[in-house]
Amino acid sequence: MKTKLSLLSAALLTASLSLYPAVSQAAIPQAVEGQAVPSLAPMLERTTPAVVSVAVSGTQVSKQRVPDVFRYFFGPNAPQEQVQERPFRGLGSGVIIDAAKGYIVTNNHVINGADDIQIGLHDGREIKAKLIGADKESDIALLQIDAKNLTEINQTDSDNIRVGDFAVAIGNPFGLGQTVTSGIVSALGRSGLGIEMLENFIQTDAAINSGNSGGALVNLNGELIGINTAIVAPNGGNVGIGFAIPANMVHNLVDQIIEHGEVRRGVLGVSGRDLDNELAKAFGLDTQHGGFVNEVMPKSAADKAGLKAGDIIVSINGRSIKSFQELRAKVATMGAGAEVEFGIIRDGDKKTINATLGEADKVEAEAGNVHPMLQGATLEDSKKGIEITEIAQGSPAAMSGLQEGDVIVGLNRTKISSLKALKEALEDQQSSVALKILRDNNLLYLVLR
Amino acid sequence: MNLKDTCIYIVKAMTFGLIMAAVFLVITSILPNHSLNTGLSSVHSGGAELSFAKAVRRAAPAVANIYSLSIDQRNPLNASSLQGLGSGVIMSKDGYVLTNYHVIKKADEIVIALQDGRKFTAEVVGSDPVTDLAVLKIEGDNLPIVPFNLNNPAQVGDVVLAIGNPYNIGQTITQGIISATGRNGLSSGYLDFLQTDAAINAGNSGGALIDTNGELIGINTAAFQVGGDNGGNGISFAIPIKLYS
Repeated sequence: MKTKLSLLSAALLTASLSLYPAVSQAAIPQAVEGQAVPSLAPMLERTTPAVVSVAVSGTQVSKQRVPDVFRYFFGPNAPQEQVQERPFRGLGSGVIIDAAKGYIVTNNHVINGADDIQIGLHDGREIKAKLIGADKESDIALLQIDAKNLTEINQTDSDNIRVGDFAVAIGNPFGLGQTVTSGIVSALGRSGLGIEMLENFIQTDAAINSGNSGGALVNLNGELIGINTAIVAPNGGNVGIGFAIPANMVHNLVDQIIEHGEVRRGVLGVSGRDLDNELAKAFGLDTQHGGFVNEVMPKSAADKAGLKAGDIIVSINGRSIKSFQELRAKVATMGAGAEVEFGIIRDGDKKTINATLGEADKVEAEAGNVHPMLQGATLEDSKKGIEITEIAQGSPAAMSGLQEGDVIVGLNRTKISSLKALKEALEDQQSSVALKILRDNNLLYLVLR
Repeated sequence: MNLKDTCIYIVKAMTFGLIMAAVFLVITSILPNHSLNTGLSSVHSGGAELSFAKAVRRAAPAVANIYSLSIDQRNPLNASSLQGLGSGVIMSKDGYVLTNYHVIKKADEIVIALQDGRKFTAEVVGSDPVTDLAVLKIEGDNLPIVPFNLNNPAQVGDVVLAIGNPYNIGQTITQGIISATGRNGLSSGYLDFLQTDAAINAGNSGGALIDTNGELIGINTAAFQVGGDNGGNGISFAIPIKLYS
């Protein structure tokens, strides 16, 4: 009886005495005065091998007009232009998104114009990369390396992040070598900054500097939420205002680059503006944020889906949008053919509308983007060339003598067979150009000034 | 006798228990898997805040953008020009807004833009150049207000969030800690500033410094940057909220 008692009390003491210190011992490295002290080290050990440095080199070609004074000395045979070739080097960061295939995402501005791209891996290997494709307007480029034992970054739905969430930037600032900085998500859906053509940034106060471009912004689980791209820098360095392209937008672009080698921009076919306070008041709306539709282009994806001028687009695929710019950036990066659900407000009622985005290359309404003098014309690729299917009266296109049914077949002395080719040919032309046109089986030239 | 026996048994049992406890302790400290439970997992399981989103949601709507406009004296018919940019904190339902004096000084007209898109013209109720504080008033319904607690003074090491509109890019939340309290001798020697390493830039002036509960602890002021206009160098100042009242 007594022995039993002694054994029992011994066991109790053992348990109570040993359990208490065991708990406190395990807790010591985790806490300071009872408060948890988190460390990002375990997450970073898994994540940092997926972030690489990108070193580029190339030659920058700059053309300068020879000053008249020199022409005087050299006579009439003097060269008109002086071509200067200057070698340049650049540094940035990149993120491995597919270890098996060696795909690396970076910023377009990191690799723009480079002849040689070298990837520096976390383990010290240096490997030459191939450019798969790039998108200037959203500033994303896809590279590929041929290497084994790569680590890819974990993915997540970047639409789920909130302002106030922790964010960790991994990159190669100033070429120092891999650097990790931490902060929080300062704002979402930032646009209107004039940094890129298509803007829908995540803003963070994690220190981002020159060389961080193309690097990763990850959450506390080490999952990619954005590609660090730009900063506001009144003094050239970090002031706690950095911008990253959301991971979801990056994935949309990368998928298109992998599939087509280029980004096939999705086109909705609306023009509009931000819904602001005055506009909301004028329409008697409760909501204050969204994209107000001024105009719907005929035959566009928006037209087919039933969007109307005066509609307010408040969400895309269930995610609310703040501004027209955000709408523009999201739609343009979703890719042609994407099925999108728009939440709209029409006459005070909420509605959803499903649209299939059109393809940007088959421009149906935005001929003004091709050349200012083509504004007002609706262009479409056809078998013979580029057909003008519609022309607005009194528009610049009509004023320059174009008519409905005309088919553009050439530019100056070059044969042109597609809108894309016309766009490219016009990009190099500064002053007036001559369009070769087929009208009622007759060829004629029209000069655009 | 019975008592003595019992005592002996208890002492024996205790000794045995202590030995067992010691053995158990030595073994568990050798076992490696106890140290696995450190680091990031503690962030998930330790009850620490994973995100400041809750605090942001409580306080951010009450931080407004302030644009102070001035009318050109020589050409009064001209459109008024932007004279100052800053932020302000809505303190009460009846529309009292706290900001920095330097944001609104020299202003002929003050426009306050709320995060929900509403815009108001504000009147100056009072201002104090010495403490660099000003109180404005707007007329509006359903104004969001900032929660604050005057009995909870900030301590060095506390995690804080700064809310404002730096460079007019739109509302921005930055995070840091209280680096020092009771800083003075910076300008007038009158104030006891809070010093923080949260990024504060031009346009953050008059904005809120909040704790992780979303409660207001100070008004950020970018006017006293060390080394001129160098924002974001990790040394910024805020006026503690107890000066308000």
